[in-house]
Amino acid sequence: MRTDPDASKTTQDAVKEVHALFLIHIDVIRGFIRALVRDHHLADDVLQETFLTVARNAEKFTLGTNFPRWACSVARLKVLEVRRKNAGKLSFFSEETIEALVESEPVEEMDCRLELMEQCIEELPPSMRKMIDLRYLVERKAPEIARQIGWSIEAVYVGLSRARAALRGCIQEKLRNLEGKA
Amino acid sequence: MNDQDKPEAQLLDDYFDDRGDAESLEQLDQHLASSDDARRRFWQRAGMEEALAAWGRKGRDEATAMVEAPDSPARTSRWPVLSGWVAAAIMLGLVLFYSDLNVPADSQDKAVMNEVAPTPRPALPPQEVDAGNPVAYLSELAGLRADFRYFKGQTIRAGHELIIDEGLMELVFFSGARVTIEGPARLVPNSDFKITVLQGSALADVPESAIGFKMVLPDGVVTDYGTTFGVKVAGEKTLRVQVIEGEIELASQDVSKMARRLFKGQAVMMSESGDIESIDYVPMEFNETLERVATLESKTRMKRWRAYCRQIDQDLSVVAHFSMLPEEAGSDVILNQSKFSKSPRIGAVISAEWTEGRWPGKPALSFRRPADRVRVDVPGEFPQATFLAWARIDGFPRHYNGLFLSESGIEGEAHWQFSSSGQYYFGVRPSGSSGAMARFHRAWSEPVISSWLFGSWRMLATTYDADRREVIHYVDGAEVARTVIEESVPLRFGRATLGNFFDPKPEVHGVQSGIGEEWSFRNWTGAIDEFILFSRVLNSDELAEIHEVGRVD
Repeated sequence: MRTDPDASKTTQDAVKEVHALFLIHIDVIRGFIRALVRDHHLADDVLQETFLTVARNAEKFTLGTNFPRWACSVARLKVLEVRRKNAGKLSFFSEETIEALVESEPVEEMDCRLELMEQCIEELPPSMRKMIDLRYLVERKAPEIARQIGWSIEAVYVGLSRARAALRGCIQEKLRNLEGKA
Repeated sequence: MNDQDKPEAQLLDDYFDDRGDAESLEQLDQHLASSDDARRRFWQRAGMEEALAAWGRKGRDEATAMVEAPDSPARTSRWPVLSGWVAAAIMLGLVLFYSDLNVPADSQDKAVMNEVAPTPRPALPPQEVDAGNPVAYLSELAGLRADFRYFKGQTIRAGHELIIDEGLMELVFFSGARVTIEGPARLVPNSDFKITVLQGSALADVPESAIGFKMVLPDGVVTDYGTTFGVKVAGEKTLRVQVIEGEIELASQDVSKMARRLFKGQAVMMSESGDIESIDYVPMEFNETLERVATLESKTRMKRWRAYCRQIDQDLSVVAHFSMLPEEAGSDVILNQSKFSKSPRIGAVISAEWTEGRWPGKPALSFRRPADRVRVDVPGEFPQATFLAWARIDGFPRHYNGLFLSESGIEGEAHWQFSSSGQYYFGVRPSGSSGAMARFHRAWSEPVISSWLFGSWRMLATTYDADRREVIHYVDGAEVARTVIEESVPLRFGRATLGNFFDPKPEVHGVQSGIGEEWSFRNWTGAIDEFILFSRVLNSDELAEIHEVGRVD
């Protein structure tokens, strides 16, 4: 049962609220699913199923509690479902590992703020920036990037890895500064 | 961890880069199962991956791009429909009810499609018969239906009578005078300082450079002394002449009558007897209407075009579609918007500068200098192809004016370009030849673009069918030439160039008389705001449809 003290809220209001919340948190929810389901089409299907289930159960959500965590708990069931259906065809972690991963506060750990990411990407040296552009903006796979820029595939992986490490360092520093200011 | 084990960072990279084998996955699985810290780092890495993916989506404007196009082919997954809805909700800042889920942006696009009714096939542009000198250019038009098809940006010659059934048109004379006309109307620009209005309403805005500008009416003449004034003519009679700003002189056709000076706020009419009679001043603001309607029309057309683009991008035969969306303006790469084509993914913009395209807010690339170009890598062989570009043609100053040319020297090399006299100069390298000087199979047209129409946006298209050995050229969706070439050669593009040509051996051409520098310098002069390469022959109906959706006016 819905535990929201505001008893005047209707079912439609609840649906509207979870829709709004889903849009706000869609990146985290998608990231959670994609981390466990590497096939992007399948992951998108899981995202859709999660959305539909969340919408159907909108009234069960207590406003003010952690929405992404609730949505990810719904997504977890969907992930396990597609894992069972596709285990023979695609690679997944074992069910035990998935359960252990879900238990370890994914939503909190995944908190990577887009605006900080944008700033840090802007600050990357040009060679790293190009790697990130080709991989994430133009969505090229490493072998295609290698072909385009004339590097070996291994060198592209190393380059991407360094660029991500630089971004991670930059974001952490910005977070520390923000905390310092707050 | 034993010696064979990869470090955790490597395992995570392999996993998130989708390159790990079963063994790596197994190793990561066990590692994650056994360590809390490892699981924490796994999620941190997942968070970073998603933030990067979200950044990429934002950069590609994927939220808006995923709105469903009308009549697009059925998708295998239901999710894109939801994405369309999500995108629409984000765009509109609205949160829709669950029950709205099945009527997403689709219906909005249909509304957009209906908003602009299809216009009839274009009439031929005015030809240079009895050509006077160019005296004005067509700076704006809105909802225009006229005797000919007129193009925004084109020049108008002295003595050419414009017959407008309905709509609005703005002419800027080369003296600086700006005349807005509301149809139905008939008018003749006589010189850069004179226009005859036989019927209709007109507003003239005359700057200092055009003081003395004359407007000839059926029963009188207005001479302007630096001002804004309006006239209304119907049935050979001047029903209204009024001054919005400044001062004019109105003379009756009847020379026995006195000419009259009129000042701001004064309005007159010509009586049956040729007398100038005062009447009440009535605001005439259709120049503002023109601006408003033109803006609205442009917006509607651009929306309709964007919806249609999403349909094109679902076409499996689209090899490359560079639609140059607003979010790409200023970038040094342009994205291939085709949903299925894996290659090319991008075009590299070299030297070409961003400018305004067919509609306000639609970006285009400007080509003017020898270096201006877009480099595109198109692998593969194409027994059939259709080249299509929306281009503003500002002139053909070069011997060869390049639209899209293959990598030089490869088998199946294709040259899609125009001659200096406005002919399609399409050429294909004969099989078995690789030298720089091979004589290409030619599919040339007669001149199809006249200099009177320089400055206008046109849809240029050519289809190529190796089996039939047939090349068909189109302008604005209408066929203009058809050629059977000597040999069946599948096309190849390789490291191709849009809006130019790369000549790797200029020294070879330098020694040939007649084709020196002009062989190497083939930049387009004008702008290109859309380019599509199909791997099939589009028929004339399809090309007419693409033209209809993408046209400027």
